[in-house]
Amino acid sequence: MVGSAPFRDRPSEGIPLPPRSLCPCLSALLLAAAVPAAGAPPDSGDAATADGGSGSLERQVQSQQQRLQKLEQEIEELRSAVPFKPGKAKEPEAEEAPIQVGGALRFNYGINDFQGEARKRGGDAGLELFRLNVDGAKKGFLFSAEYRWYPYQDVLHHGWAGYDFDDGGKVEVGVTKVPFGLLPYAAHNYWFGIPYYVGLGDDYDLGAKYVWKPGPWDLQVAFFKNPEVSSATSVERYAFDVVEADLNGDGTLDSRNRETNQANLRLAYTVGKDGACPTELGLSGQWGQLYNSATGDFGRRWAAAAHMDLRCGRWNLQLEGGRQVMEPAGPAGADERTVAFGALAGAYGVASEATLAVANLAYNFPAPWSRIDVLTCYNDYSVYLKDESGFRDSQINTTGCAVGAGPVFVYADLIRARNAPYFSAADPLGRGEAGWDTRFNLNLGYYF
Amino acid sequence: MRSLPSLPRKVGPFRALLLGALLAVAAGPAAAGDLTVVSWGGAYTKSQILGFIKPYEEARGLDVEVLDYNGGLGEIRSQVSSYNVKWDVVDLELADALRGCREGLLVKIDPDDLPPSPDGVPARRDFLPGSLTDCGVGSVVWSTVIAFDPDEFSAKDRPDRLEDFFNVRKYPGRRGMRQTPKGNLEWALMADGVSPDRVYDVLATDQGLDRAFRVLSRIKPYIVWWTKGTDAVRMLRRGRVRMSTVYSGRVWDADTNRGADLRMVWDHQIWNMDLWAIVKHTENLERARDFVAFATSTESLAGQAGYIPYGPVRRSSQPLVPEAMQPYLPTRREHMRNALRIDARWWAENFERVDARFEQWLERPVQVPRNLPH
Repeated sequence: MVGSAPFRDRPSEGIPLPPRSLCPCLSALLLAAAVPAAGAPPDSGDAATADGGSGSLERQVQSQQQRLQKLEQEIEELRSAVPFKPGKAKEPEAEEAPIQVGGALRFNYGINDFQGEARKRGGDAGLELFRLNVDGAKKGFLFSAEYRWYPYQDVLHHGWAGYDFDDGGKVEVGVTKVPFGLLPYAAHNYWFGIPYYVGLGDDYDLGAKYVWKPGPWDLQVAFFKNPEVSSATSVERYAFDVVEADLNGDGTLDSRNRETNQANLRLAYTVGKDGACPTELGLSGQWGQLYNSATGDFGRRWAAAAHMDLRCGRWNLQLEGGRQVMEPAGPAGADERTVAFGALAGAYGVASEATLAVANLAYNFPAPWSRIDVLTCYNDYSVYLKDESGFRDSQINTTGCAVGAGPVFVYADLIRARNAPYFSAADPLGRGEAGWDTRFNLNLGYYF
Repeated sequence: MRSLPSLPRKVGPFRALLLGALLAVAAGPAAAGDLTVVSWGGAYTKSQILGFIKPYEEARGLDVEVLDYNGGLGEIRSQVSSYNVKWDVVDLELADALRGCREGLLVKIDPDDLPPSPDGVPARRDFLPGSLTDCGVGSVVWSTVIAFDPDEFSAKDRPDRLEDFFNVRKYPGRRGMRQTPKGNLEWALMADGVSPDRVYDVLATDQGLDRAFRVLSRIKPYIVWWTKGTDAVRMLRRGRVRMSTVYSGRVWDADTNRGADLRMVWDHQIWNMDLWAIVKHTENLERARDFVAFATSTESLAGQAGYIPYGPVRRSSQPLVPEAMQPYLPTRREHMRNALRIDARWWAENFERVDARFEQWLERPVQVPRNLPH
């Protein structure tokens, strides 16, 4: 690995969509429309005058009843045309401000079994990041941006503008999340798993994405021109991308690829969306070019995955299986068994052809104390099975809990990893010759 | 009603029309009727419109605007505190009528201003005990029950008691519940073995409250919350929930008028009372008083009961309730066997405290959150 980031970190999701619910005054208006009709004096209408007597009144009452029923049916139809969204049994609230500013201040503590000095000190703690978020929605237009200050880099995490269509579709243009595999994250823990480190999880690139979620379906189509940073030699970025880097440390760039012109398609269907155990099943595909600056030729990179995300009561089981193949167009004789990936001010080689698997299990506990809002414990496992016979597989297993109390959120993770970045392996996601390493990580964040 | 500014002179007919339309829009909904009455919507409001609002309009030659709401005092509080009162008369639950009166949000109503029964019994004696409060005049006794679609269950194994609602092992599937602590905590305790006559004694203790929340927590992953009575029926009919708490009159309406076939479980039904109240600072105070007197007359209450099976709170109205409605009335003897009456006074005193805890409990996610902060 070239360079190193003391801690790594991940993003928040984009801004929530404004709820699509019926105008609260709709039913009132329709009922109000019914009342004057229902309230017309019986002797004011022609029919009443002509018929007179109680028979006329009964007929009129019946007619008004039918009218009311018709109006109520219309209300029902209008309501059914709009996705039902139960709200809180609360009185009307003030409209949300169109622009919301938030952020976080986070500190991290870690102790590793493979760093003798740090271990002797009892681990190290320090500032992880300060971040600012600005989100907005007005008249269908949306935007969301997040900027992060780390001790070792300042980066745009994401930044896009979009539009929310009436049919449930949404378009985002800018630096936006790449739709691939389990979303929003392929892990519950702070440290994340293999997909993030091989550019297939929580990745953000520059392009345009269309999201359409009719009922149980979730379709996302995207095209990305570049990663979020156009310079392929800069590794100051949040998410891992193919970069040009000096992997062997001889002072020259030996992996000279950059990703460009990437298309993504992700289709998911939630079985039993309104049931007790909604289960999302999905397929993802990614196709892109790898431009090699040494030869000026284009290679290619593709990836595919299938995933399942089951949420049954307090349990959550996530499974993902995928494949990544990179075929760079480097100079003859170049070692293309690995391709350089970079982010968080560092870079390392990733095996060009591999199979990816993820299995995460989590349980959300009822809060044991009144001040605790969230207590979720999990075990997240992921593996990168490299095709190259001489390469050892990379694995990360994280057992931990996330605890939220008001604005404070803490992750306590015990990470066991083999050939994973930021652990002891020299070429973790490439050749990988290390054994199992252990790290205890504590991340404390204040979110505002 | 807000007064509208007069049009400038020498305004052409088209411009006058346009300005008139704009001003009418600017005047807002309060300008649409001579009196604004707020109620709970759906079949319930329909029964009020047909039972006595329409006759009132006919009798007085006025337009009554009827709006829907989901209960609570928040909007009333906001209107009263800003002296911008758009709601004149509101149909309130008993606890809210007591609380609203205590907070000075409602106008006091003298029972002597209410009409006597047709045979001359004064209102004070004709209304059931507890149905006349300082600021509220009772109208109907209504009930919340458990309901289900029989097609969802085998004929032999349909739920028939409250415990079945809380038993997701025997009866898997989602449950609809009104998003409020009121009634749900009582049900949780009764399903856990507390007898109806002890419910409020238990609920009054911290341990009892904890116990109620624990029982609710057991089914929390399966709960779909509703706020409007119509939503509960709709969720049942669409199969979105397998059972739901629901206002009994809405089930009758769905079965009788909308071709549904829903069944009710009367076991441990929770009954309550609605009252008419007048919002303080209304500009239509005398009209509002007149409406409340009209709406709570013997004939009006009986008239409403002809369109929804809720029991009138005037003794003189009860013989006038149509025979066909009798089996659906919450007040029927077999339905009252182990029924619980909402203790409105307890709720008036404890609602803020318990509701704050309920809201906190509600906000805690059941499922593993998708968006843990990162």
